Amino acid sequence: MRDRVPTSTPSGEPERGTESLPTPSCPQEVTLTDFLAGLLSEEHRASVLAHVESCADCRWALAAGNGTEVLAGASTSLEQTPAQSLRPGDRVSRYVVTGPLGAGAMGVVYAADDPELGRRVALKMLRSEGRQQEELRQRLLREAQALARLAHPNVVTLYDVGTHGEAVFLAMELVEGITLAEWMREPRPWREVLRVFLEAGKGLAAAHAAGLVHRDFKPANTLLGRHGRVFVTDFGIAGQLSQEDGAPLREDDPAHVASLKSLTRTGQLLGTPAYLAPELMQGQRADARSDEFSFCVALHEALFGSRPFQGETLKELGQAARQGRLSPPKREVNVPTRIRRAVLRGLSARPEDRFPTLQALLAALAPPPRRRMLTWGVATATGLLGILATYGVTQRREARCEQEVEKLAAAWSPERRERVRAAFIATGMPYANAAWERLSGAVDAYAAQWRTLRTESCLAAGRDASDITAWQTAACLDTRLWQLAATTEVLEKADALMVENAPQLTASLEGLTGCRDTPGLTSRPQPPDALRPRVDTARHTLAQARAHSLARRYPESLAVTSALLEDLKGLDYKPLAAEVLLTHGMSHGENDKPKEAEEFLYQALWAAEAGRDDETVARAWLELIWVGESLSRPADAEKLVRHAQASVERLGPERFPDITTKLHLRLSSLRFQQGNIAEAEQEALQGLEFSRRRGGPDSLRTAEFLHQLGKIRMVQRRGKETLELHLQALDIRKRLLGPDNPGLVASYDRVASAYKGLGRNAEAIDTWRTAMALQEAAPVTENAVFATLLLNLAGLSRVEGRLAEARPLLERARPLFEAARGPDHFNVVQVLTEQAMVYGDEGQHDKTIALTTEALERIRRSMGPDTPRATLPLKIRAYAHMYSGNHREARRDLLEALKRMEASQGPGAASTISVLLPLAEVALKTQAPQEALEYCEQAWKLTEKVQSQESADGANALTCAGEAHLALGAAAKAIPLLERAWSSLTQPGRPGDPLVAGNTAFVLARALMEKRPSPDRARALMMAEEARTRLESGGVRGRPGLLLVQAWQRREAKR
Amino acid sequence: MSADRKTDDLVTPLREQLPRERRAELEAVDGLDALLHKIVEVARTGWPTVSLPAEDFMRHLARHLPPGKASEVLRILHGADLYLACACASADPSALRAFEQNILRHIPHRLGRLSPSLVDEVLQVLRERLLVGSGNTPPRIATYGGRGPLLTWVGIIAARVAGELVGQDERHQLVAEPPEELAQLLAPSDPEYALLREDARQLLVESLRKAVTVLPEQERALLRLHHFHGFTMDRLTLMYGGSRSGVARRVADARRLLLEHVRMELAPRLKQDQLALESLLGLVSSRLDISLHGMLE
Repeated sequence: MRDRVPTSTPSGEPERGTESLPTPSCPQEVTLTDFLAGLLSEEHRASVLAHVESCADCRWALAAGNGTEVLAGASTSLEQTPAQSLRPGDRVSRYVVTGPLGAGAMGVVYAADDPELGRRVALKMLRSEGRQQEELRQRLLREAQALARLAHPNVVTLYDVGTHGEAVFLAMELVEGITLAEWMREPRPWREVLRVFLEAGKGLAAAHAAGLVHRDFKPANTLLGRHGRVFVTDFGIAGQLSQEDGAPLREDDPAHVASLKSLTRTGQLLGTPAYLAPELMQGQRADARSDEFSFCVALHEALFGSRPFQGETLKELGQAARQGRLSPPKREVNVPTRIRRAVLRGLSARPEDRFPTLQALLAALAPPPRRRMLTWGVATATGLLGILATYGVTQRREARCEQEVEKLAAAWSPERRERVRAAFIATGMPYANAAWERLSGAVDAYAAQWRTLRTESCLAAGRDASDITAWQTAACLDTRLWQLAATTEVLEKADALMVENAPQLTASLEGLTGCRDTPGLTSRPQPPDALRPRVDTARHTLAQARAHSLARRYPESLAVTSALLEDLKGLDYKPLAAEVLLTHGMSHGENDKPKEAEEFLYQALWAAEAGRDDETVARAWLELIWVGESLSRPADAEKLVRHAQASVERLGPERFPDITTKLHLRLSSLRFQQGNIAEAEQEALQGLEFSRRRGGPDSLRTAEFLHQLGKIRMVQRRGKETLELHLQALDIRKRLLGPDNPGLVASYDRVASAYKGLGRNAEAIDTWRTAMALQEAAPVTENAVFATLLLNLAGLSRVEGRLAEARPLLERARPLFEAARGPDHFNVVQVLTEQAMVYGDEGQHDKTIALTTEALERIRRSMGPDTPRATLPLKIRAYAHMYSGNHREARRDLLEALKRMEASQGPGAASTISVLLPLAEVALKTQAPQEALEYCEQAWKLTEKVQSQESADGANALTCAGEAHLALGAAAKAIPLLERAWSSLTQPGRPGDPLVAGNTAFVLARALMEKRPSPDRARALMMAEEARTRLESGGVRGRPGLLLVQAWQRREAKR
Repeated sequence: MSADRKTDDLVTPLREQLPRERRAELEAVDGLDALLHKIVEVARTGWPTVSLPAEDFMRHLARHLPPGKASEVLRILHGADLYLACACASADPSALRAFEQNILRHIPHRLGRLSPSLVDEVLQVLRERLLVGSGNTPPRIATYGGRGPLLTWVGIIAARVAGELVGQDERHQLVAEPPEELAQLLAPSDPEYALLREDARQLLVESLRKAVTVLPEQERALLRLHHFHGFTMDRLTLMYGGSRSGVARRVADARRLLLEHVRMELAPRLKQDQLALESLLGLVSSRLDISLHGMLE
């Protein structure tokens, strides 16, 4: 792995060959413009061309000039489109508007409900033009992602960013209260003013620590909640918007000076320039110190009743600020000199004269704490030297903490960021750009959060050397940083597969707040100092292996971990060995080598136990459940589950959301495979709730749970919910992974199956085709996934009567599954059963019986003698027996299936309908109509229970009962049931199985003919005709039924 | 505006601005009056919010008619762009806004891989250089002549500004057309390529890289302009002169030469495996075809 030759020189030194530098002889811009337009004279053109051929600079300049944009008419975009006003009840994305809250410079704010999460939000609608919209949205989104991680009590939480028509919207925490501007309209006591501003300042400082600049701090952007809490809002947005709207402000720009008055009146471009730092008026970039200036302008205004600088125009305003010409206070306030002085320093014209950080300003403003007073007391005793010493220590500590934080550059420097971007783009994958956007947003946010937490912990550790938790937090954060560094290093060599899996990679970057929030518990064991360098190096390498594994490059990952295991032989540090073994085992598992996986996972477990590393212990148990599941070893399952649950409990379920969600998912999947649907549902619901609460509504984990729940609903025969859940999951994954990501294949497959379950076959086929196309375009074809698609398409082809199409698909799928999962795996059994059904449809029932018998044998071997997974082959074998006239065997198989279903899902499970109906059929065939009727009525009750009366199940149950009544000689009772079934099956827009409708039509025809005293002959013949056409369209599958109908028709026609 | 169109005499201000000896040139332009009205109309439709007196525009136009080429330039003139530049030179606020919205906004895309802060700096310098005059010197935007699109002109200046702003080392990075990247662009990214073994893939990229470095400068420049910078055949025809098919042939020749070099690189390493050699070459060749095809559209 490590000796792989990089495809581009990573040192970044470009090969220049014989290229010359730009020289004074480079052609003028006008000449190059004319050259591009072909307007030069022949001689001149030739000489310019000769120059260009040898000058990379000029080629680059030409490329920048080259373009085909036509400018005439472009000015239509100058007109601002007024934002559409929203009315109560209007929907913006998933939010429902309840009413307007106010209008700001950039748009209108509404109150709205978020029905999904059951909370109220503030919706800010920002105007933007169509062409800019996407770019604006992307930038806001990036900013929002950073903000979203900035959970601070004095910052309004931003939940969501999206587009609505031409507008971009922000969904934010709804703060009930007033703006600071409103609050400042009347004079307030200076102490109260200070309290409010100190809170706002903390919000701003937290943002600064996270690398965010507000750019437009002012009283109108600051909110006072009802309970007195202060919230800063609108971070960065103003800056984004004004950049979009035009140039940064320049006071010497006549355009701006001329229109200043109107601009300030409408507030569209400038907001209120009074709060802008003078350097921003000169077009410099906003930074923390320009925020500090704005903050002090507002504070000055609040304390003294007037803004510090006055001016009719931007120019005058800028001059006043630069010359420090302060306007006199409007009211005399007895503000302490300390505060006055601090405000004035914050209002310095030169940024470097202000406080270096907002934190420093706040410290100067804050009332002196009691401790400081004590220090003063001591200081007076020990003299001036003492004070200076304390001061010096603080200074040094801050400087040292700054250095600590600079370590971040090792993981995510601008240079590395750029290299990763270049690597992504170089893959040429269609979704590379989108993937990069998402990745960089996530990593930026992670880095910003790391910076905040690391600074916090460093300062805390410095303040109180006995503060062990602060040291632990710092160590924990540093470990995560090395993990990030290794991940980003791997990303620099991103290939198509890596790009595809970038979201999973970043999703694995978590646990930063975990470092802070678990001070009471000893975190990961730390190595003794002597070993630390070696352990650090090894962890770094291990992080690379993890990154490979997440990108599904298992052989690469295994190569790294194998080498590491070799390296670590002399190093006696158990927790590290456990980590390496865990990754090694997991890669084996993912690489479809469950046996090897199991062996290494147990080794990891033992090492972790010996090294007291609870986190690795929990992770190992979780993986063992999964490996046990794929090895189909039911006896071990319960023990593993107990161990996993206990280890997660010991760890604290809230501490490691990643581990907790995984536990729910593994258990739900295990229970599902065991056929214990009720428990599978319970786990999925709990996991979904936990994942939404901890990871937000839109995480990959949430999508996984939605899919899992969808699978469960499918078995519960709640088809519409199934489709709804899978569509939701697909939607989330599309958004997070990008629409062309091959990772979406699994989601499409589930959506397609859900469509099929609802009889919406055309949509199902379309969706499967989409999935096939995605899988085919993928850089690596995954056999098990591909086989699943084959199996499912085959199933649908069979139902639609195209047996010749189904057969080769299944023949391809079976060896793929056998190789990937082993010969006795449930997937293989599914293929065998499907193959059996193809024979059944052709009437070769002996072959069906042989194949299902083999399937049953295999599933018994892998899942034990009582497994509910045997239900399907049992049912199919029962049908084959029934059609062959072996009624007793058919009944035996069906009762066996019923027994297993009831054992696993509890009595009265909806899915037992699929056994009750054939049981009724067998009963009818064996001249036991009363028994048949009981089965039918039982089935009908179940459809009532799960409200699926209008589904195919409901119609089948009715038809079943109708047929039983008919057999009992009660045509009058049968007809209304059959009519209801018929009308339910022939509802417009419901393309169901034609055989089902055909069967119902034929039973109805017979019942009508037997109606006494007067048979409805005409309608009976008509229904028989309906039955005939439908059975005919079922091809070979419909043949046996068709023969019966035709015989009946001939007989009746003779009468 | 429409009311004064008929009475508006555009020829006179244009003529008066020209030196006496050149006025005769204008006589030679067929339908001069209609042509000028057309130019003004297009410009004003393009920039409805910009108010620039037609006479001022005509005088500005006159300054940009090179001797002996008045007629030629009037025919190919980017009138709307020149109008905007003229209005910007006279500091018309809405023209400045339009310039910001419609020209400067497109510049960052054209500068490619600059860092965002550097892009901001470039834009700021551009505003200063182009829009702000000093003393008696009018703003530099007044020197834009309307012969090519304004955006092209500004784009080229922007590139130069960016080159000045960064240090020399960084400039190498900026304008570099590393052989690796060209090689990567030319290397196929289709499924067949994905199926190649990693060592074969590396061999291919490596050979491409070497082949690019040994290509003669002119051919390399042409392939870079075309494949790396994305110049279309039509644009290359304007720059290289001659016929479009002539340029297409030159590109095809350069490409053949490149493939020849690739073959020379690959052949000794794949001595035993003629089939593998041909299939690798086939991949590169088809990729070149695809990208040529794309450019010819």
